Amino acid sequence: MRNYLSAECFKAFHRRYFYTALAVCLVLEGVLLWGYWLTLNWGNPDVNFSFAATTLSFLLSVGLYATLITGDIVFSDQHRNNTLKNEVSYGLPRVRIYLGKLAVSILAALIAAAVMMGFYLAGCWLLFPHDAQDAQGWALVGYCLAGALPLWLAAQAVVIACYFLVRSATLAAFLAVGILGVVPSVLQVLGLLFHPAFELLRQFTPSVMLDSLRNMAFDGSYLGLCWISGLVWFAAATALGLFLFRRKEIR
Amino acid sequence: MAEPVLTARGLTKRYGGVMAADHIDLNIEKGQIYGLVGRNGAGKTTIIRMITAQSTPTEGELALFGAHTPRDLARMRARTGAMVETPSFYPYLTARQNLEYYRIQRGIPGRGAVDEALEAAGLTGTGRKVFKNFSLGMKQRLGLALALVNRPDLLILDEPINGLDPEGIVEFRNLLLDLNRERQTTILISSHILSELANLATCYGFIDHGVMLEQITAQRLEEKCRACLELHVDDASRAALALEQRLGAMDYEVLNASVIRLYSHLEEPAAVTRALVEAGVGLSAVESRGANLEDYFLGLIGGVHHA
Repeated sequence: MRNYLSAECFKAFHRRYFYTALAVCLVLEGVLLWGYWLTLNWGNPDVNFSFAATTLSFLLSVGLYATLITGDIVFSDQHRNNTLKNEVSYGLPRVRIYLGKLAVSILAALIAAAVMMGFYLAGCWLLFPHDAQDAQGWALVGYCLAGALPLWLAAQAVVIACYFLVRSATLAAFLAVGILGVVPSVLQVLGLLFHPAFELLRQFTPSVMLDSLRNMAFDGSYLGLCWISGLVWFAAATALGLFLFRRKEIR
Repeated sequence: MAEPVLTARGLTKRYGGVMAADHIDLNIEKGQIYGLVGRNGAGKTTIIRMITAQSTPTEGELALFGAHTPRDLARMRARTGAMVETPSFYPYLTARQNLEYYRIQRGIPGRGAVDEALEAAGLTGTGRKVFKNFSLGMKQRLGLALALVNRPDLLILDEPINGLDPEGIVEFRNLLLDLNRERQTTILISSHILSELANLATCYGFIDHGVMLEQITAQRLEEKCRACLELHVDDASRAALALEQRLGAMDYEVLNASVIRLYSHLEEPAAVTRALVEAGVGLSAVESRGANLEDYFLGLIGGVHHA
């Protein structure tokens, strides 16, 4: 497994895709920081470190959909390039192939998240005034990130399962967005029309939980629910993806 | 006794109602170059895809180097190198980067393995050119380099000379012969270009419509295809005696009680006929026979109209 992970890292970090995507995200963050900095200079007294930093709590869903990019960086159009056959014909177990790519996509996502968070928070720290609310801001950011982490992992597992099982990367991405973004809306409608159980299920979907995190700030039990729900999604998506991939014809 | 490298028993692949491979038996021994012969769509790639784990057999058993459990088969596949259909690599990586990726993934020690494989495949001067800009021939060579990077004991090649220029085909053939001779590499090679296989194979498997029609050694095939006069007589033993005594012919084969193949005196059918008639042998037919690999294959599948 160690060789497989090393090879996947070699491939993922030897192409410009990862760095380009990261650079684009950093530029967007820079624009956001610049915008806050302008309003501060125009005399808006509400702009300070705490205000700017806690903006992160509104952007948690971006991380959910960013897993499409980190999944794509690692999966690298294996179906279109027909490269999976080189791996299975050498006798590499399909479990190792699946889990290896999932692990490296998580690694890429964590590195990207750390760089982006670090850049944004460092920018906030350097550009904006500090006051007594700083500690509160740090705590809110910490709480949101702690709750978002398992939900992002769940999203990454869903994305990787889609990439493995659907030949077209575009269709796979649409399917993943459908599962992560559209299913909650469908459950909401079903809840209204048929049974409240659907609404209850909706509350445990990653996108809804991410949206609720900010409002549930500092509620330890909700944090626990995020972890349980995230890990259940992660395990279910991985088990289903693995089950189907082991039976899939490689072309 | 020769060491079995690849054995298949009743290997079958069914796609819905279509039988792509129908109870295939294969037996490849160490040091053989096994030519899998069949026209396009005959089932060659289906068999190779099952051998290389890209496809799961519907029925049947497969053994590689004597191992047949799924876990052991996976382990033994690490002793193989395969090139199945079009070579496939990451388009944004160079030849060296692509091979380096697979070298790391497979745990092959030393970067020298990549250089050695690139050199063997004649692909040393590609520099920073990425795979997507390669010509078909270069892609084919990189596919071969990947198949060689782990110094395999069994090389599995599916239509490997597609896209190679004439010079490349000769180099490729010589490389395979060298590998077979120097490293005792066993080779399974499929092709519908029979003239190429005729220069390489030591054993043939003829396949059509997913059915293995015949497996035969190159030596036996040569014997069967050898030019001869086929004599249909009433008593083969008396005819043999007459050929020896009257013509001094020793190079013949008695196929059954009424058929003899004579490999000498090919230009003298009249003399042969006279000798047999004078010896009182009843002669019903004299046929001039002989075939090459293509004729033999076409004969097996029922003629050119079926091919």
